[in-house]
Amino acid sequence: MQGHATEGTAPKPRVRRPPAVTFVGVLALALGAYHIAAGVAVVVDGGTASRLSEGALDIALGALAVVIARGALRMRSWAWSAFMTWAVVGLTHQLLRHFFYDDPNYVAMALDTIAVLALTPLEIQVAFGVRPRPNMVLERATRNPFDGG
Amino acid sequence: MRHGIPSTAADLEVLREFEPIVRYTKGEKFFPMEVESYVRASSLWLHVPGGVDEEVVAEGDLTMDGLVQRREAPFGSLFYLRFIHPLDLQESAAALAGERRLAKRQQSEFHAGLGRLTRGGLLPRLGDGLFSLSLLLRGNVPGATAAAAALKYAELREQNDRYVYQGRVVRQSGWTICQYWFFFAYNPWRSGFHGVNDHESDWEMISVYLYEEGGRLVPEWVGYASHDFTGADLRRRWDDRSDLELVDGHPVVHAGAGSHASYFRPGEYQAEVPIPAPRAVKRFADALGRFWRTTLGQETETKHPLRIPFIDFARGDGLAIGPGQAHEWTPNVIDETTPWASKYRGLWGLFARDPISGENAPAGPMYERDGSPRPSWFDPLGFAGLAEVTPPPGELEVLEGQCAQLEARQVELEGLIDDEASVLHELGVRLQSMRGSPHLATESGRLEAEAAEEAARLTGLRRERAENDAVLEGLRRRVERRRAGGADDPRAHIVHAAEPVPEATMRFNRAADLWAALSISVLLIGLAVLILASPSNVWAELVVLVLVFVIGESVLRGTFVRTVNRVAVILALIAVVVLFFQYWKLALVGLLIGLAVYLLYQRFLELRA
Repeated sequence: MQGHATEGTAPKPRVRRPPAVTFVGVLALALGAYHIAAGVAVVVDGGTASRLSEGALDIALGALAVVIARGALRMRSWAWSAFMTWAVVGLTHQLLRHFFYDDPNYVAMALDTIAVLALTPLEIQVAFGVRPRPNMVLERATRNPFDGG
Repeated sequence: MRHGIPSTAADLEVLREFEPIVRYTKGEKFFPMEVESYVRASSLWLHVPGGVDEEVVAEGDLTMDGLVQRREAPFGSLFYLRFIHPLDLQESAAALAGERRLAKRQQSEFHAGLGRLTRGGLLPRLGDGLFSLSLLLRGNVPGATAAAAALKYAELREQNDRYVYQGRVVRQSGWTICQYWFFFAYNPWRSGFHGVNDHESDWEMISVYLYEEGGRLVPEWVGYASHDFTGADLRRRWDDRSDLELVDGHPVVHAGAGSHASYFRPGEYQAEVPIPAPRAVKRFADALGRFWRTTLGQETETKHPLRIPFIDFARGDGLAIGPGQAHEWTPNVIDETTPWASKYRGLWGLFARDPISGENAPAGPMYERDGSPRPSWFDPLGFAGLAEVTPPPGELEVLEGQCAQLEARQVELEGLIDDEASVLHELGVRLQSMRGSPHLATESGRLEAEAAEEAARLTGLRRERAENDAVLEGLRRRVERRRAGGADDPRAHIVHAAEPVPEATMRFNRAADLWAALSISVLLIGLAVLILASPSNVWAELVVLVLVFVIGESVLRGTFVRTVNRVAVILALIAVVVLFFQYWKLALVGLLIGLAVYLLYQRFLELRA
């Protein structure tokens, strides 16, 4: 029965990882490492419950970033969605801070922007498997029915 | 062999041979009727710009002769019929209650089902709300008019229950065209079926295009009018079974509920109305769209974000009229000499003063609303993109004629090219003999100019010959195919066919439908709460609220990836602008250094090569 499970099925084509994805993955890893290190430092220092919870949150965010980075480097489609969601939250946060609270973190804003621009091109999305290859779909039901209806 | 009818048959016989079977949607209240009873039940009015509309003939006094009677009126004025007189509150309530009773009695209640609003996102739904509000500002047919019209039409049907089409046979450019015009007392698309507009009276039309062969008229094309569209997309070839259904040689039409637009296949058609916007806004939106698709490499879908998803329900599950059906047609033959068609240029129902005309009644089959001739009447071939199509029996002759003409021209061109080449050779020899003789400089210059002119002429002749070769090749191929009896692809002329929305994408889950119905209201209530509860941070919180709504909805609609991508890119672009303004010096320095390094690298590669 050996090999039965794969009998008759074509091997999945190996998708080459685009450099932009490697870049974003490494970026996420660095971000995760930074958050974990910062969180551990806070927890080790000790302090109030609020301070400790901040540290714990940092560690959790760092761990999440590492998991996403690993997924991105392995070209998992969920990693693309997770990274983009992360970027949406981060960019919203930083833009609101810039426009309404005068307290922005431009480094974080720049990093999120780079991540979004790196993950946005269609070929990257296709490589991740979140988007099918572009093809022509002639879709037009009816046009403007304002007149003569 | 296709069926046909002797070409000597009378117009009425030809019309009857190919008359359609029209299948309506359950819930449809108005069906094709004769025009006389409608006119008798209407009043005639005159609209004068800037003045008060004047009743010219009261309801009950209007006759067909009275309708076509010549009346003087100032420029810009407009005659119109009025089927329903203005209703007061009590009459409106009575009409609405009466219509509900009528629908129950006729067991023809319409159920849209879920999903109309879910078919568009938040912006289209916001547009839908604005569209509803716009009816308050635009002229529109008053609310209970549709109900009153349904009751009045039901009364008229009790006196005359025939289903009538106005048939016309016209002969143009080798084609015989049967036009079937359907007149309805009312178009209740908006009030009855969540559509775009309501108006008193409605004219719809389908055409069958016949050619003559062996003394018989044979059907080749069928064109179904749909809203205000024209062109080849409206027609199908008689043997195109992928779209055109024939029952015993009669084409089947599926009429949109309320709109009465004609479709080839049953189903629900998404008719998207772009919200009108100033030209500058449209240009900006187009530029953004190009940037999105070309520069950012995003999806090529070109749906307008500000659109309202309306649905034309052409389910075909209601009354069917036509040969072999429970209800048959009563034909009425018309032409340019039919007085009500040619002499009455006014509207066949209420002029609602709607500037975009959606709620104004249409004019008759021969005219547009402004009284100008209606193209589908005077140019039925052009209407369905058939002006350049030769009837099949004559096509071979035309093709052979074209071939012969081009072949003769090619022979002529050969001679011209040889002559031109000889002239150029002579000029060339003369020019070469002048070289090295300074005293011949002027003559040499003149000859050079002449030679350039001749060379250009020769190039033109050779280009024409080469192009003719390609055209001839195509013509000969087509001649051979025609001689062998080969037919073209019946759908080759179609660019955008109206397709019903596939069942799989038509229905969303109940949660999405519920959300679609509630979301705009919940969003507005949320905004109100924010203004009250946290007035200092209201803008920031509103942004978060909208983002949560948009992304939450995308999860329900199964479009999370696309939505999160769009939102992320938009935010990233804003961030780029913010960062540039914040660090423009740094950005400029970085750009210059980057450019310098790139150029150095290029030069380095060049030196190494």
